[in-house]
Amino acid sequence: MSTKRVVLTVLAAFVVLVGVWVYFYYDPSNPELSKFFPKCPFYSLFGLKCPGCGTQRAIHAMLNADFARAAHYNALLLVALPLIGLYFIADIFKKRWPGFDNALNHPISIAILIVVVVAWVVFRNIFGW
Amino acid sequence: MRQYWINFKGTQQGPMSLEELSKLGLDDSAYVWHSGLPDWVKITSVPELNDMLNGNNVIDEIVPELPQDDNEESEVVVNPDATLPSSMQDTNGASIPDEVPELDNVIHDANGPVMAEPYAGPQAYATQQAMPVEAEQVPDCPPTNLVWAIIATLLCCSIPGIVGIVFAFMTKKYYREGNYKKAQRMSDYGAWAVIISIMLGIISMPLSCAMSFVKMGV
Repeated sequence: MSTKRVVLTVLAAFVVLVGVWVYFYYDPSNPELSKFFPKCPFYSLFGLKCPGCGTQRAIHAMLNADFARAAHYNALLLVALPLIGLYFIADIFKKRWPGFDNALNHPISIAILIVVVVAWVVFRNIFGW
Repeated sequence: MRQYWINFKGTQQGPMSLEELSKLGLDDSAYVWHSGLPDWVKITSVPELNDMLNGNNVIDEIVPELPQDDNEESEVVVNPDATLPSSMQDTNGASIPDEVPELDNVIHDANGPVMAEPYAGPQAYATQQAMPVEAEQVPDCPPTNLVWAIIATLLCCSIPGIVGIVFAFMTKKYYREGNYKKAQRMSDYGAWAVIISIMLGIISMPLSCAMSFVKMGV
């Protein structure tokens, strides 16, 4: 059980590090390189932007400390990354701060998340963010 | 003397006399069966047991009464933990004069056919008892997979990712309403939504790259 966990953690860390390295050095918005990066299947099929569209370009911009450009590509990612961090912290310290974890996982919090994601999709497809 | 089978906090015991039952520290979440009942019932719906729950003085009244009966009967009461099967105690009970109306039932019990009923009990227990037991010991909330659904929405494939977030919401909602079975089911659905999202993301990656190679040339 624990060795499996260690192996999985090391594997995940390796994948994340490789990803960080790739997205730090290679710009997905570069027309010559863009064909090497995966495209959003939702955008390819329907021509509409999904909540995750622009994530790769935004990650490249963020890794190069260009947060204005990252927000231009995918503003939701910029907001969601600290939030994801909060969720992991709350989960790790569940015993110590049960209230924090409960607040983040409260049905109202999740409902707000759903509304924000749906509003973001509508907003970016109308205003072309 | 009437014998009772009892289902309390997930364990089944019996046959037992009223006096033995009074020593178990039962509360109104217990279920009970005795001969003549078609199925397990809540302990509160059996009048004499409900009286027993509501105050011990009822038992105190009953216990002194018993020595007035036959010696046989008092022996049964004095040896509550007799290891002999119910048939022995039932026949003893049947010898009491004022229990005659119940005699037929008791003898049927001892002979076997009706004896099957207490063993049909666990099935009834599974359906009837499931709710009260879970209400007593609140289980942990099943995992909502919320973080993974958010990550899947942003990084993998958004539509199943959003579905995963919605299932996380439903999990918490049902859990708070005390509907633990549905919460567990929603949790499972949410996990599947995340898995599907990741799988679609992994499948679409090389496909979309291949498509752009075809369009733009290598």
